[in-house]
Amino acid sequence: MSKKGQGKKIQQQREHVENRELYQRMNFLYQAAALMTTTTFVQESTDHNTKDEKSTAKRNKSYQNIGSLGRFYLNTMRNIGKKQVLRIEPSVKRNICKRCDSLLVPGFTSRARVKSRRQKQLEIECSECKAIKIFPARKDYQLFSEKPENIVGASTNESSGESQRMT
Amino acid sequence: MAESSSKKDTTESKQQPPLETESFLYSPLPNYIKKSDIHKDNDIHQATSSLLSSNNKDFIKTFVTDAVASRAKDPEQIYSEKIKDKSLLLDNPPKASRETREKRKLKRRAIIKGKSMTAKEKRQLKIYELPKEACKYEYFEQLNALWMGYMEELWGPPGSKESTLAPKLLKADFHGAILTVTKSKCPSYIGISGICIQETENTFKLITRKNICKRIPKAKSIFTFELRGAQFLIHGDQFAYRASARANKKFKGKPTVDIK
Repeated sequence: MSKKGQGKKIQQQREHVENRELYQRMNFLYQAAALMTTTTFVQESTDHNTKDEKSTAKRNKSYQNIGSLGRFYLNTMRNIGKKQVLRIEPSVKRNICKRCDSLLVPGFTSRARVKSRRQKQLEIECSECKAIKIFPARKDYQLFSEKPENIVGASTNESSGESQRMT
Repeated sequence: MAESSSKKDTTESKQQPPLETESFLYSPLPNYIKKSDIHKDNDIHQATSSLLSSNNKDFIKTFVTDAVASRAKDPEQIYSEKIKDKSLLLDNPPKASRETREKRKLKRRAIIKGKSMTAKEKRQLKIYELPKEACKYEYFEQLNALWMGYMEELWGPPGSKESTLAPKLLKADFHGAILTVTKSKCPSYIGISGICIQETENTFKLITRKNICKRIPKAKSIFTFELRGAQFLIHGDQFAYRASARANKKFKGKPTVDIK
């Protein structure tokens, strides 16, 4: 009996999440974008600009990712979030370029550098559109949503449950 | 350098009646200098003029070829490619005006700050366009597998009815689904099947097993896909919204209309 009751409770809690399908959808889109940006294909290109014999004979092989689709998926994901006013978990949001919506994978689609200005900060440059994101890199730095005083009843918080799903 | 000035010379001489009969390497001096005494005593000008007067184009050619000869294999070719019949600037290009410089600065700042792109910029950079080499079925098989997992999660545990999934499907995502065109007003679309990689307001972009990318309009066609052995229909006509706009759209039941 007690087990059944617990199961029901858990189920009720699970059902309680509003816009559940939309969160699932956004989650899927994020994963799909990650998949697309990490799959690479070989692109062969010949230079037509230079007329030298050498360069026409030489074919440039370059490995490229299908980032364009990843960008499209993330764009739709963000639009869904905008329309329904669903918050995106900061760790997810930080991985998306603000300008071109591409997924920022350090060393692959973005360049991360630690710079010491007034305080140490992390600069992430999108290699697609050159937009820069700057985050403080202090040791004790906490996001607003991570601060204990901002969390209402840490375990039963809805947003934390959602954020887990998002990541 | 010299070539262009000689050209200038000829054009100027057309506009003004030539003061001296011979053509010079350099454009004629302004009048106020000519009148002054400095000019009269200056024999350098005369010396160069006599030296060049016979054939100044030849002089340029010999001068350039001599200068380049030590470094290049074929100086004549270099002359003919880069200098012959070309106008070259004597000065550095003029600096951009302050306004344009500031505009550029602002633009750069907007890029760094991550201001969102305008639609025009997106079009120019081709930000959502898939390169041709990437149109291969194998690249998207994994996307399909991911989509199947997503659908399983959406549908819930096995054994749940199709009627529970149907309303959810309206707000679901179809990137990665294997869609087949079963009915269409255009007969050539019928039977096309592939993984959906992009859904726009009015089209589905499919990649077929033969690595061909097809863009199929939603209007006037019906798509099907299979899940757990059940077949689902998408009426394209009533589905013509953007993938993101569909999330908060309230769909109304409409009588199905036969195509043809």
